[in-house]
Amino acid sequence: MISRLLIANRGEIAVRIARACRELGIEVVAVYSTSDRHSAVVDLADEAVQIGPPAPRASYLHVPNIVEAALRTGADAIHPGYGFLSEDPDFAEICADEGLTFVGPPPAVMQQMGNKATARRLMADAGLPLLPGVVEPVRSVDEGRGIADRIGYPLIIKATAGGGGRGMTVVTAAADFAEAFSATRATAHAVFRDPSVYLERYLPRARHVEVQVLCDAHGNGVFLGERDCSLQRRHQKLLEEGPAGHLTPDQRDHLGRMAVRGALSVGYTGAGTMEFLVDGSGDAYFMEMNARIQVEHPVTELLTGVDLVREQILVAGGRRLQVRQEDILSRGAAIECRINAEDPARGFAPAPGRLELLRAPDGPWTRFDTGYRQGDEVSPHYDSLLGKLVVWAPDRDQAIRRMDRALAEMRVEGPGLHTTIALHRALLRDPDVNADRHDVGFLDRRLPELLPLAASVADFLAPALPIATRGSLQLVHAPAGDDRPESPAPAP
Amino acid sequence: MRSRSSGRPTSPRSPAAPDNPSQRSHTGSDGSPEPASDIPEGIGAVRAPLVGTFYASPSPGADPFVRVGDEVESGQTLGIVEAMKLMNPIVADEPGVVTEILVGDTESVEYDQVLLYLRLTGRSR
Repeated sequence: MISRLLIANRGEIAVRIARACRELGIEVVAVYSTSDRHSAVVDLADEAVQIGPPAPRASYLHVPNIVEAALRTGADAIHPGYGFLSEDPDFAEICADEGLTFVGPPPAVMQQMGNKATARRLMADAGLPLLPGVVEPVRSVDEGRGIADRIGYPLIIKATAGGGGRGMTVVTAAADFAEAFSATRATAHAVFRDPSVYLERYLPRARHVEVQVLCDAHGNGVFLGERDCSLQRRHQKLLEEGPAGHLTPDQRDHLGRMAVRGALSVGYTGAGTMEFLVDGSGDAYFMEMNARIQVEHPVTELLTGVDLVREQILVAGGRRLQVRQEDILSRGAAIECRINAEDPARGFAPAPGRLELLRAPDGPWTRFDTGYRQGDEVSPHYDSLLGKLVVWAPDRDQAIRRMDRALAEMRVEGPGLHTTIALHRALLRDPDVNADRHDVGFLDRRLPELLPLAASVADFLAPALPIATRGSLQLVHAPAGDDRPESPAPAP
Repeated sequence: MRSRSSGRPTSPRSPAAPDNPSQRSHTGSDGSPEPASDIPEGIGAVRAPLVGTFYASPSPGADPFVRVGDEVESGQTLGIVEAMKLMNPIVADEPGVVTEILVGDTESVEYDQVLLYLRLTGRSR
C-alpha cells in the first residue's frame, strides 16, 4: 500500500489529491514552483519541495527534479493529477524504474491510449463503434484528401498526440482541407512535438458524453455513470453535467458497459474516461480515452457518492475494487461550472491577476474546488482554471437553479481579473440549455448572443430564472434488500 | 513497493535540513527559502539549479572543493548536486571569496536554494 505520496501537480487538483490522502492516512509531499511557494497545497502537505521556476518546463514538467524530490522525501508513490505529466508514459516508466508507484494505468496502456489513432483501432477491436475515419496517421495532404472524400464532410482533423481539446480542426468543405491539414500538423508539432494527425467524421450537432470508469489491477472494472460535456468553446469544456438526461436509461447503461469493456480490453487500471460523441438518435461513437483523473470528476462524485481520487489511489496501491457495478447508483443531477480567469468578451483571453477578493459560494450541495486563496496571484504561467463550482440537486431543473444561486454568491475580484462566472449565468438562462437540447457546437454558435446577456448579468440586471414549474423529481431511491435490480442500470 | 534504505539524506523541510540562517535572506512563513533580494552589494549567492543531493567534496572523505575564506576563480567547482545519478558540478560564475557555506555534505537541496555566498572580487566589466 501507499504510505507517502508526492503530488506532481498544482492548483485545485493538487489540493484535491492532498485531501484524499489525508482522509486515507497517506502522508503528502507537495512540489511547487517558485511562484507557487505560498499556495494552499504547500500548507496542506507534510513536506514540500521547491522544484523550479514558474515556467512549467523547468518545474512541473521537469522529471528529474520531481523524481528526485520523491526519492529524497521518502515518497513511495506519485500522483500526476491531470495535465502536466499525467499522460506521459515515459514519466510513468521512470517512476516504475525508481520503485515509485505511479497513480495511473501501466505505461504501455498510457502509450496506446495517448495515441488517439491507436486508441481508435484498439477500441474498434473491442467492438466499440467509431465514426467513419482512419486508425492510422495520415501523412500527406493528398492521402488526406482521398480519405476525406471517402468519409465525407464535415470532418475533424486531430493530432494523434493531442489532448486538452487542442490540435483539432473541423473542416466543412473540401476546399479548406489542404490548409487545415497543414495548420493542424504544424500546431501538433509545436504543441505536442508530434505532427501526426488522423481524420474522423465530425457530427456538429452531436453531444459529448463521457463515461467514468474505474478499473483495478485484477481485471475488474466498473462504470460510474456518464457526464455530458457538450458545452464547449473551441473544444474546451466549460460546463459539465450528469447524467446525460437526453439518453434513455437503456442507452446510458449500454454506453457504460461498452466503456468498461473497452477499458478492460487494453488492461486499463485506475480512473479513466471514455469519451463518445452521441448523435440525435442516441447512437454513440468512441472518440478517445483520457487515461487520468479528469477536471470534471466531481460531477460523478456527487452523483454516485464515490470518491474517485480515493479509489484511484487505492487501486494504484494494488487493492481490488471494493465496489461492484450493482452498488453504483447515479442519483439526481449534478452540474460543474469551470470558473476560469479568462475574459469571454475578449476571446477568452487569459486574464490573470491578484485575487484581492475571493469568496467561494457555500450552502447545501454546493462544492467549490480550488487551489487558490484570497490574496494569491493567478500566474500567467499556468492554465486559467481558478476553481470548479459543482452542485447537486434531485433533478436537473433544481441543479440549474442551485448553480445560478451559487454563481451569484461568488466573488472574484482583482485588478485585471476577469472570469467566466457571468457567462455561466447567461448559459443557465438559455432556453436550449434549459431544455437540454444544446450540442457540441452550441456555445461557439450562440456566443454572440450570450456575451451581452453575460454583461447584463454582471450588472445585476439579469432576468431571474422563471419560477419553478417544471419537472417531477428524478431522484431514485436506492433499492433496498431484495429489491436490488439484477441489472446494474443507473437510475432512470 | 520501495523499501526505504537508511542513510537517505534528510529531507529539505525537515528540521535537520539546512535552514537559511543568513541575515541576507529570510525564511517564508511556510519555511521555504525566499529569494534573497536584499543581498548586499558585492556578495553573490550560489544557488542550486535543481533538486538533488549536495556534495561538498569530489568523493567521500576527500577534501572539500572549497572552505570558507577560500578564493575561487570564475569557473571553479564549488560543489556537486547529484540528481538522478548525474553529478552536476556547481561552478562559480565570478571570482570571489567564500564567506559562508550554508549546506552540509550529502544534504538535500531544493531548486534555487542558496548553497553558499561569495564576496565578489575583481568583477570583470
